[in-house]
Amino acid sequence: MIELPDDCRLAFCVGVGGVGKTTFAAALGLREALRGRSVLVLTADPARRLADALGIHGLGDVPSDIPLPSQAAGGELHAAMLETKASADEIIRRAAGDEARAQRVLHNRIYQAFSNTLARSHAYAAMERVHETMHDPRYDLIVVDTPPAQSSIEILDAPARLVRFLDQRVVRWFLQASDDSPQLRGGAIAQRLLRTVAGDSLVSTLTEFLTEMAFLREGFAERAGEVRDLMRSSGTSFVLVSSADSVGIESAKSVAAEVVGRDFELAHVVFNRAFVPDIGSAGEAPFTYPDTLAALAPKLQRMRALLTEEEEQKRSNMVAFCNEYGVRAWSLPEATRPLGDTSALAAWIEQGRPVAPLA
Amino acid sequence: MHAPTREPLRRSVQFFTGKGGVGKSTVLGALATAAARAGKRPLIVELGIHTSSSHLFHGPDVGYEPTEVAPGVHATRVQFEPALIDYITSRLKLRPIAILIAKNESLRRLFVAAPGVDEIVTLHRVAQLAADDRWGPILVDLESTGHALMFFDLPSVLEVFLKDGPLRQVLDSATALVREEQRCAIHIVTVPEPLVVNETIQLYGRLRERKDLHLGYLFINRIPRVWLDEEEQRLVKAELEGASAGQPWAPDLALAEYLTRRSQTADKCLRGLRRDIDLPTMTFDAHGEDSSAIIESLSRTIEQAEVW
Repeated sequence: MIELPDDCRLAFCVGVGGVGKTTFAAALGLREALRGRSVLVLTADPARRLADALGIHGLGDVPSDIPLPSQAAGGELHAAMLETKASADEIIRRAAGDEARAQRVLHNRIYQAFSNTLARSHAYAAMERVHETMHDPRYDLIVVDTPPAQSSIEILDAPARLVRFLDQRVVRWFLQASDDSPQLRGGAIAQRLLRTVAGDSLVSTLTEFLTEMAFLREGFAERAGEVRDLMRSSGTSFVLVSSADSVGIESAKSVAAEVVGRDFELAHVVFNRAFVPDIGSAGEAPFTYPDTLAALAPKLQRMRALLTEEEEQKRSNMVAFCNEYGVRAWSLPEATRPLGDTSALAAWIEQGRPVAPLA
Repeated sequence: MHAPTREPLRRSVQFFTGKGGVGKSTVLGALATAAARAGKRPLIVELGIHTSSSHLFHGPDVGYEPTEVAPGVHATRVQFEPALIDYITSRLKLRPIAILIAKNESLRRLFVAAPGVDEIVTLHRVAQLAADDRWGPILVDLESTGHALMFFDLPSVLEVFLKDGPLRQVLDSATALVREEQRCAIHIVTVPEPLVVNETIQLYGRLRERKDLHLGYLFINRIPRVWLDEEEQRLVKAELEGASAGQPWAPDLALAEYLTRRSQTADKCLRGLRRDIDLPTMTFDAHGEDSSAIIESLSRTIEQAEVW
C-alpha cells in the first residue's frame, strides 16, 4: 500500500513529463487525507490536469476544498494551482520591506519581462510558496507536483541560484566596476567585455536591475537557506514517478541522479502503468476454450502472450532500478477507466503493489 | 544549401513539440533514420539536460559535439557552458578570451543566474547549427509544451529591453529563422489518449495564433492495434456476461474487451484531433518495448510517404 511515513510533512513528486505525475500527486494527497491527515496538493502546472483528476471545474491560487469520497477521521484535502506572477510580486514586496523600493523593482522592465515568462522565475515562486505554506497550521502535509523534467530540477535549485546571482561580491564587482580600487579593476575590464558581448543597452538595464535587487539580497539569502534546510529535513520526502518501460526507466535514472546529487533523500519510486489490473493474469490451471470461442482462441492467446511479455519486461526493469538505487518502489496499474473524480482516484491508488527487490 | 520546398519535412530546420511521454524523441529518431537512408545528413538537437537519443539508438553518450548515434544519424545536446563559449567567441572572435570569460567565477555566476542568458545562447547555438552546411535537416527536440512556447515566445519577451546590440542580433536571426516558411517547420507529436489530446488541441491553438510560425505535420504516435471485428466484439461481450462468466478463460475475454475499449477510445481521440487540428497527419502504430524495432518500423512508415 502506498503510504508516506507519518512524520512526512512535505512530499515532492518529481519525474519527466507524461508519466502521470500530476494524477499521482492528487491520488497520494487523497490517500493521505483518507488516513486522517489535512493535506494540500500544490501544482505548478498551468494545464488543467490536477483539476481534471480531482473532478472539479478549476483551481486557482487560493486552495479549494476537495470533498472526500468517504468520511475520514479529521482528514481534509485541499488543492491549489500556483499563479506565479502574483507570487513573484509578493516575494518582492516581502523582501523589499518598504513599498517604494518594491515598486521600483516591480516596475523594472527586466523584472516584468521575466517574472511571468521564464521557467526559472516560476520555479522560484513555487519554492517560495511551498516554504510559506509549510508554516500554515491548517495543513499536516503538502504534496508538490513539480513541472516536468528539466524544470522539475530547476525548481529545487531556484532559491540558491537567485542568491548566487545576487552574491554581494559579484554585484559589487559589477556595479562599482568604474571604481579605481585594484580589486575592482578586473570588474571594469569584465564589464567592458560584457558590453561587447551583450551590448550597451542590456548591460545598462541589467545594472539598473541589479542595483534595485541588491537591496533584497539579504532577505533572499536567508530564505534560500531555510528552503535548503527544509528540503533536506527528515520530514521531506522525494517521490520519483516514472513509467516502467525501458526508455522511461532511463529517464528516471537521470532524475534520480539529480535528486541524489543534491543530497536530497530519494525515499520512494512509483512506477505508473506497470500492469493491467484484474485482467492482467489468466487462470493458473490449464484450461481449454469452449467451442464457442474456438475461432477466437488464437487471437486471445496472442493478446495474452503480448501482455505477459510486456509486463514481465516492465517488471524486470523495475527490479533492476530498485536494486541499483536501493529504494522502496511501488507499481501502479494502468487506469482502465478514466480517473475523473476522487472515488476513482482512491480506487486506483489502492491497487498499487510493492515491487519486490531481488533477494 | 537546401532547395526551398512546400513539403514541411524537406525544410532545413524542424522543431518537434508535444506533451512529455508521447514518444517525441522516438518519432524524431525515426525521421532522422529515414532522412539518413534518403541520403540526408540529419542532426538531432536535444535541449534538455537529459539525452534520449543515446538510449533510443543504444548509441554513445550524446554531448555538445555532434556524435554519430546510428548510421548517418548524428545527435547533439545544447549544454550551457560550451554554448556560452560559442556565443562569446562569435562576438569577440577570440576563443581563448571567450573561454576565460565563461570560466571567470564572478561572470559565470552572473551568466548562470541572469534571466534569459541560457535561452539566448541556446537560440544562438540552434541558429549556428542551422547555418552549418554539414547538417540538413536539423531536428530540434523541444522537451515539453512549455519549453516550446517559451522558445517561440522568447523573442517578443526580450524585445522589450533588448533594443539593440549583439544579443538583439541573435534574437533577430533566430526570429527570422523561425519565421522563414521555406526553411523551418514546427511539428506537433501526440498520442490518441484523452488527456493528451486536449492539451494537444490547446497547444495547436496557441501556436496557430502566432501567424509568423509555420506548422508542419501532426504526428500521431502509438495508435493501438484493433484486435477484434464487430462480430467478435459482440461474441466476447455475450460470453463475458453469459456462459464464460467465472470460467478460467474469463480474464482472457476481459483482456480482449479492455483492448477493444482502448482502441475505441483512441478512435474517438483520432476523430477529435482530425476535427480540431488542420494539419497534414502521419500516424504510427503502437509497438512493444524494443526501441530499435520501433525506430525501424516508424522510419519505414515515413519512407512510404516518400517526402524526400
